[in-house]
Amino acid sequence: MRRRVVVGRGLGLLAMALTQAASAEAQLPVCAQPTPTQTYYTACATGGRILVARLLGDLAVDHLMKADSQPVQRRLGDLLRNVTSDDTRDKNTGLRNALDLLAPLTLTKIDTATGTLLLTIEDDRRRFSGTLEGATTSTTLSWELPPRIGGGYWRTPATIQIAFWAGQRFRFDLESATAEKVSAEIECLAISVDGIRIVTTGVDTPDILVRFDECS
Amino acid sequence: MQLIPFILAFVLAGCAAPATQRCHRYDALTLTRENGFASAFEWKDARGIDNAPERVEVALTVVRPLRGPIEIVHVVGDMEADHWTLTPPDMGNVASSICWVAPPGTMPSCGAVLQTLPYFPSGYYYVRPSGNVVLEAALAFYVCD
Repeated sequence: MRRRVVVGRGLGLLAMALTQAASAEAQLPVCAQPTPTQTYYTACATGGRILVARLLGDLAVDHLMKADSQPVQRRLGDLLRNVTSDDTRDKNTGLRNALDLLAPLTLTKIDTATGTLLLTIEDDRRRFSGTLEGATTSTTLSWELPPRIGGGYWRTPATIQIAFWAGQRFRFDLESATAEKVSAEIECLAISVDGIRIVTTGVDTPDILVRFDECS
Repeated sequence: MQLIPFILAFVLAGCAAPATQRCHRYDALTLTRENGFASAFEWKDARGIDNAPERVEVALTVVRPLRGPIEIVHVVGDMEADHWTLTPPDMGNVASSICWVAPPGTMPSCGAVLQTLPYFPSGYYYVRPSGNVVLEAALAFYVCD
């Protein structure tokens, strides 16, 4: 329960920043801090630190050195290409094509550390159903997206946290070959050089953690 | 954001049941021109940093070339509790650097180690740029049970 309260506080701070942009002092994270009792689905990606550091470093340059009026844009298909191997992408052409058809993700800066994020999705691109092929296993994935995915973010050279607005969140269903099922809605996303932490909506759904080291 | 199920698919492929974690990253604050490169932080936890892999992370974006070390000062009450003199390595003129300030015995990435252990993060932090154009500094704490 405590973490939901903290997310609310983070969103409140961001809302304050939105309304008082000229005097914004909300240089604080927007996702709830982790707690020792929180459970996670976990995975390890040992090469992730370097990839994420590069993405966040590029974002820092765009965020801090471009004119304030100029939003920063990223294509999800390009991000996928940056974080997966050729082999993985070749096995998952359905997902790759679905991502390539989406409009760019737009980040609009409020101040040095904060901003808003928006992905507008055309009606015929809001549904996906397919199979994700890994090295040895496959997983069935489906989603139906709202017309807009949006939220507020807080970033540093080593992390970006995105708190999604209610009604503008990404919800999906997954079923693995071993019949493990997950239905989740993403409330907050924290990508750092230490890993990726996905905060799901609802206290009964475990969060998701991809570690870049300390995997044992 | 559609990358998330892609990640989760491979998490599920590992068949690991949900579990708690021993170590966590706590992102704390950013020091920027909007807050005058100074801010307070309250650590609501009895744990401190005293053994590797626990550490403080200082992430900096600075206009290159550097004109000398950058200092981060930690004040508790009205006393300077610690300060770290950071010399980020030159990574081909890349503006952003990540420094680990860790307990003695670990290789310091930017030349600074924690002087007093256990280290408790609460307090007030500010940047001494020492002639550099610092665009932002961010603090995070990596703490284990």
